[in-house]
Amino acid sequence: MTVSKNEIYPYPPVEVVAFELRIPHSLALADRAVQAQVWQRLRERLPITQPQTGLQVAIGAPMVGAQQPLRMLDRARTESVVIGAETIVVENTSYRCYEDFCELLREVLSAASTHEIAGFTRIGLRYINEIRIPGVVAPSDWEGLVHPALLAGGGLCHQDMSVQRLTGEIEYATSTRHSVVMRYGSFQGRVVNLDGPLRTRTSESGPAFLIDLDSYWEDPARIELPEFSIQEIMSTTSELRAPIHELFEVAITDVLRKRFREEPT
Amino acid sequence: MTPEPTGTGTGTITETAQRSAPGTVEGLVRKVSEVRDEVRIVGEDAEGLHGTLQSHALEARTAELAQREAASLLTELSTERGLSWTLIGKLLGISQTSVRKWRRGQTVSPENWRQIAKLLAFLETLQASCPTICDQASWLEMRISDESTLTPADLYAMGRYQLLLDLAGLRYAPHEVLAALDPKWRTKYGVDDRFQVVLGPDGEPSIVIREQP
Amino acid sequence: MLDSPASEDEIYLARAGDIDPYRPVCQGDVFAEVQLPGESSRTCAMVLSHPCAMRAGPRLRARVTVVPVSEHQAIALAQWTDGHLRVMPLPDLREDGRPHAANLEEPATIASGSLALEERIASLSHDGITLLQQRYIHNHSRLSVPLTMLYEVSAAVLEELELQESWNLALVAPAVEGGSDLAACLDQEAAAFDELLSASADGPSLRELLKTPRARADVRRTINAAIAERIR
Repeated sequence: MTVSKNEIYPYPPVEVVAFELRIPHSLALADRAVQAQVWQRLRERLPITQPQTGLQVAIGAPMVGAQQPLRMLDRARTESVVIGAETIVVENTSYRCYEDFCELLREVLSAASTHEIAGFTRIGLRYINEIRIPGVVAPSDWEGLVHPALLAGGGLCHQDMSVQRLTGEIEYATSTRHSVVMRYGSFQGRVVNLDGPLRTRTSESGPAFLIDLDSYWEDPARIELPEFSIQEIMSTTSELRAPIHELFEVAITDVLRKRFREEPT
Repeated sequence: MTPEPTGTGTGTITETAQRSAPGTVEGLVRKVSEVRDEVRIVGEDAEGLHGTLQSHALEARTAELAQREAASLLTELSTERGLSWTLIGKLLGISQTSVRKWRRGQTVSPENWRQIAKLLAFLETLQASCPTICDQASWLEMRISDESTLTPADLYAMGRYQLLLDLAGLRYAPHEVLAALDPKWRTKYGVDDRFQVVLGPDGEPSIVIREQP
Repeated sequence: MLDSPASEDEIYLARAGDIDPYRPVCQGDVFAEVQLPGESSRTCAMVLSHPCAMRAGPRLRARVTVVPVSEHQAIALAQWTDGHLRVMPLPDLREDGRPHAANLEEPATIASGSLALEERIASLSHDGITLLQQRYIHNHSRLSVPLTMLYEVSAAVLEELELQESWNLALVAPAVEGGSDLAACLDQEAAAFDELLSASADGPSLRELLKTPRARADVRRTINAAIAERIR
């Protein structure tokens, strides 16, 4: 069975797609009033707002007086945008196709761009797939469904020990500034938070196989800060998507592909 | 060093896969929070739609009433509805001098004619949609709150028809209406607590210094 | 310190050609040709007596308090609040457009009968009357009283005067146009109006009810109905 480069599975296992733009600290976007102005421009699509608590600030200490980021949600609670002083995060738990997701990205970046943003330090695109199949429980049950390399660690088992969980992480570099981190494995539970702000596609939390693909652009040497350009960001994001698609297709077998094409029974 | 994953810390993605038991308190809190947000949005949408429809209805009735002679409209407002001429002038934003001239037969301009029709249309709307208000003219002159000098007539003169209808329909409490009008209403329109009006020994109202507790 | 009107026009109810005799004499009325004590010639004067205090029943008390009115430098609206505190500005008082002011520091009492209705050249609106009261009180006591309070204590009597004007327009004006004597008609109808307002067969009188904001609209409708009955 051949795989079309641009195939969109009708029943994909993707639980969430996340985009993150990390920016140098923006006093404007730290201000709740400015965040509210950005929201006003997105209000028709994302009418619900929530102050965002607990956002981990990865770079430096929070500025004194800075406010928490603001989360904006659509009515279905499957699309979310978080605007903060150092980050813009777009999440979608009802992902259909990349073009639709891009439309949201452009809208968000356009709304944010009305306030001065010095540039960007990192662009990340992440697809988290949780594959659940009734009856597939143990790590060994995934044989024939995923690439053998993703189950290789199970071969270390001693005869008196059974594998309960098998996970791994691989980081690939596609260029000096583009990398992809693939987290994978057989596990029990959820990576996408059922009690989080977004409604998830399913509420199941039993045995699953995770294919978490995080493709990002970052300049480790920090030679020059790229200017904030929507066109540039969208172009880079599209480049980040290619290895995600490729790695996902390599990770699964035709058995799973067939399953993702057919309506679940 | 493991690079920090995309979307860290928003609460959507847990970096350690975890089992989330259905029906947890946290889950229920989230659910109820969602319901509250939905209700709020639906309420805001309904309020906006209601205001738009009421505005259309008011304009339509204004156009109908404007077919009548201005003198007839003014007579209904003063004689039948019981509005004073001073109050009519205030509601329409017209000087007392002009109102006085109308009373003595001077021609009413087309724009003022329309405003007179609109005032009558508004009173009709009030009467139809807010049956708890027995006397619309009296209601216009009563203070919205004991803590403010503003009356519904003041809000009408400011053009805040929707806010007035919401007040009359008990959709908003008086303080909410005042706050919606101006967050600084206590400063601008608050009652001066240095004085109070009492009945004097001659039976007539007098201003006295308010006794402090 | 003190308040100012939103516009100069706002302080007046009527001036010059708009003046007629049907509005009862009230605080703030400006008369020409008034003889003030100690003055050699007649001048303009403004009635200062409070509307509650200037009548005994339907008639003016024998004496009323007035202040002289004369030409004055123009006072911009912004200057009302903390300047010219000794006067009540009267912009555009007469048709010549020259600014005038009432001198609040020279009150005098005169016989009310010396105020000729045909010499009345201006009446103040309710806003104008409360501004006058505020300035007079401040001039004589340095106390600044909010306009809303001043209106509250005067509202009932100002309502009564407006109703009496409606009564006169409906019942005196046609009689005068038909040849009746103005003064006699005004006197007669003042008594009739006072009787109507004072009657208290079943509960409070209409005059008492005017003191309650909630009841004023009903009083107006009652008076209007009484006028309609008289006209029939």
